[in-house]
Amino acid sequence: MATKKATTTKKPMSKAAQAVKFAEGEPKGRQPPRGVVRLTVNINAGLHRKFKLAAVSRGQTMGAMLEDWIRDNLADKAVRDARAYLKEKGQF
Amino acid sequence: MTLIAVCQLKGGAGRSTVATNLSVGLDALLIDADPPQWSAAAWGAVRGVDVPAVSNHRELVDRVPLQGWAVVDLPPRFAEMTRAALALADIALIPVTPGVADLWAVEDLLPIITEAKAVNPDLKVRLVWNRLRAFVGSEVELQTQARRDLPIKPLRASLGYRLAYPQAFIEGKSVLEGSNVKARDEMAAMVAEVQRLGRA
Repeated sequence: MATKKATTTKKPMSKAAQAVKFAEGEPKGRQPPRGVVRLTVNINAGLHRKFKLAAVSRGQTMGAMLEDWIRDNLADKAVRDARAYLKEKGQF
Repeated sequence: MTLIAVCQLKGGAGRSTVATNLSVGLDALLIDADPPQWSAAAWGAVRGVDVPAVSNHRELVDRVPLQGWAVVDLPPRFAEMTRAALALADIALIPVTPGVADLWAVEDLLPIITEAKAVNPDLKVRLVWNRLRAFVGSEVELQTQARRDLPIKPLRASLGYRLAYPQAFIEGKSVLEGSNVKARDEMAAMVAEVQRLGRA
């Protein structure tokens, strides 16, 4: 009886290749996780510095601070209004 | 191939001393991965042997031989080089002198060792006591403290505080080839212990 050859869906990797991968960590330019988008904005350099310092002093990331600010300052109603406006314009 | 990674984040703990002496005792290829110092390569130049000096982790991985023993002298920092060596090595030796700063540096190394063990589960990690004066109470106490606080066992063999080590280094030799009997005996004991560890 012929024995079925074991297969694996995991790509085999040599110890040397594994060492290089481990040394280099996650590839640069990694995509954000599912449900998260990347935001790129141009802002005043001085404000950016203040923002960064504030994040460090609070032990938060700049992204987390920005998310908090958006949640606190953009009421749900404003978002609903904006959606309705864009829908009306055919852009949503 | 059996690869020994000699690593420690704090400078002056004796990485090159351990690496050069073990390379002689084990008849191993010595790789210098500590730019821009290249101390082990300079020792090799005095000795008249080729000690490859690598400047990045990819070069290091390429230089590791497929057979026999190899010892890599690593830089005192969290570099890609240290990570690659720990992912490849069979044994990681961390030299420590009897000073609290050396032990703090070991603690800093623990997370990277834990990470490395995830990809290299067979990695054996040992402390190597260097420049130890067994008759000094505070140093004995520090050894006890390290055994209690650190999750890394020490090698049973340790190196004493002896001029024979820097002297041998300057001459491109190992203490195994010198006339200081105590240095020779303790290094021979260390070589034998590392050999056993490599075969285990």
